[in-house]
Amino acid sequence: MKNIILLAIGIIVLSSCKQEGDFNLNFKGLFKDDALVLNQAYELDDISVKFENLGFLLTDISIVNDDNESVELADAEFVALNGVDQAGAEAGQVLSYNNIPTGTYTKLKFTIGVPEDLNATVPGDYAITDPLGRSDYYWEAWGSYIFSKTEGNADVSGDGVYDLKFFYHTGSDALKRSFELDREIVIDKNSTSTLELFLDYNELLRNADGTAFDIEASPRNHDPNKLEIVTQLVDNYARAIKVRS
Amino acid sequence: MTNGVDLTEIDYAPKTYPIAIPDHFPTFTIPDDNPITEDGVRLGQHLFYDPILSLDSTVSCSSCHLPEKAFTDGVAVSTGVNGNVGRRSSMSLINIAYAFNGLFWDGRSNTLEAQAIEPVQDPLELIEDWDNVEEKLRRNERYQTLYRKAFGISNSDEITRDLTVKAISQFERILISGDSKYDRVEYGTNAAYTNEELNGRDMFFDADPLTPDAECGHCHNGPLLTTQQYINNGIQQVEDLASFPDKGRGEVTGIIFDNGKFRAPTLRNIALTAPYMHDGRFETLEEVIEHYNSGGHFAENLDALIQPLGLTEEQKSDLLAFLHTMTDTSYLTNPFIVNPFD
Ligand code: HEC
Ligand code: HEC
Repeated sequence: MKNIILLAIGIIVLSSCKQEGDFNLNFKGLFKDDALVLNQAYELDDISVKFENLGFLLTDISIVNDDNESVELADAEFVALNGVDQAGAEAGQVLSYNNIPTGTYTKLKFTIGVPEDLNATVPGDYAITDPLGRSDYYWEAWGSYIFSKTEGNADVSGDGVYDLKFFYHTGSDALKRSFELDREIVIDKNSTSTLELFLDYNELLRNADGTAFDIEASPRNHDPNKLEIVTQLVDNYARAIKVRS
Repeated sequence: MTNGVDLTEIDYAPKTYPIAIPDHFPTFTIPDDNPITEDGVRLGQHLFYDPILSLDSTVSCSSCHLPEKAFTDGVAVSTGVNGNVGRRSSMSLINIAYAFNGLFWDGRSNTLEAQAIEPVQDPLELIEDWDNVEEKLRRNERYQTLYRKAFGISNSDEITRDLTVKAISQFERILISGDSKYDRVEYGTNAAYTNEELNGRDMFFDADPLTPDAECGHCHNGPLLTTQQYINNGIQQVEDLASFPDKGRGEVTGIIFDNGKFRAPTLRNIALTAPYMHDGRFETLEEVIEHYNSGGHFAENLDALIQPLGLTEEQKSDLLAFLHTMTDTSYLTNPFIVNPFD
């Protein structure tokens, strides 16, 4: 898991003649350099934590080529980083897009969270199986989708019992974050190129000064008047997202 | 080669069943190979209420899924043929077409078609053998006609378990309810809650900073009043994760952290479906609210939202009043839904 950042895209080229190829976005959870396995202990500075439920809504996913032409891949996707063992964690979740025009693309764009127009809709507007049809990712009181969930258990006293339950749910228009990653993505005909995106939860649960969240003092965030901790969490995406191809 | 009865004289003119999905509901997928037709539903309806599916013709699906109880049976754990007692409580079939995350309390079945195979052969339910069921149905004149009309078969020998579960599934998919007071107030225009109900609603959905967050909506969210997720809501006291008497989801996945997790059920018609939880341990909604108010029993996989709520007596009764707005029995006026043998 070293050298996560950078590198060229690996492509398996198969033969064919159509001018379209496939593209996979492969999301994986990380804790520092390790694939993040749910319910396994990780040290967040001096607190031992186990993650239990990690997921988010990803929207407006597109790739852009040199001529600034973009190809929309999806309006909305649901990503759950729910690997319960090493193999599952290393596999992550794959979002597959077929029939992408061949060529060299230089940017990947996406938003974690839901853009305002879609955030004005509700799960009842969709099919029950759509990402935005998920009622567990909608919160009436906020009038918003829940953009991401980071839930787990912490052992704050060091007695080996993970009895402090924490959850950070992000949501409401101000907390969506959009990203443009400069990355060469080559789509070749009849082949699949894969881009791996990692989300490092060790980076996510940190204050601006780099210290770990005080999970004991603020284990949960349902008070709409206390948005500091979840605002910090979404601001941390920029450094928590790591790319490898 | 076939010895069955020729059915080609009977009319086969399938007509799509007009499912009325409330505007505020999501849509659901109907399998391509099992479109819902009026005659298909009609057949499913007969099968559902007919003890012919059981070993000794004493028990039908409807014995444990009574329409007037939102298709539950009013007892803690269900009783099948020979009085055999099951280990879990019957589940409501209302809005079951929306199940996307597995069926049964533990999610062990993926589709209604696959699910319907199970009760017939379950040793604690109908204890029948599917070969026998097929034989009984093939010899039955009423069913020869119903299968012909539903599926266009030309000979009674073509009656199979596959068509049987398809028809039952068509029937189940039309069990839609979306006209409770809750629906009319939240999504309609001219209904309103009482003060008590509104107060309960605000606690249920954490909508008012001045009342305690009861967190219910996180797992029982609208409009279906369920999120269908697998959760340990803390009803069972255990030494450790290995010692849940019913491992629930863990039995299906083999993951110890899933032990003691069950699918969060819908709260639609909850006033009609006592007793409560997968094992029917709570007789009343008051007991259920008392449980949540207590914060439940600790386990490492206890959901973080289950915590002492600190509700006063009045707040508990307001929450109860809100739960009572979720009742809707309008489906009982649908002739395709009620017992066709009555
Ligand atoms: C003896 C009582 C009994 C009979 C008879 C019975 N059921 Fe059930 N049903 C149950 C119980 C108990 C459960 C929950 C079992 C579990 O989770 O392990 C259940 C669950 C279900 C579910 C899953 C609901 C959900 O939300 O996941 C469906 C669908 C269902 N039954 C349909 C039927 C059909 C169709 C028949 C007839 C072919 C039938 N049942 C016969 C007791 C019964
Ligand atoms: C963290 C998720 C979660 C929260 C929060 C939650 N529930 Fe539940 N609820 C569940 C699960 C899971 C079950 C099924 C548990 C079982 O049977 O083992 C359930 C079952 C129930 C049942 C029994 C349903 C039936 O058909 O037997 C009722 C009633 C209920 N909950 C009401 C509430 C109320 C009221 C609140 C708020 C005070 C609430 N729930 C909060 C997850 C939750």
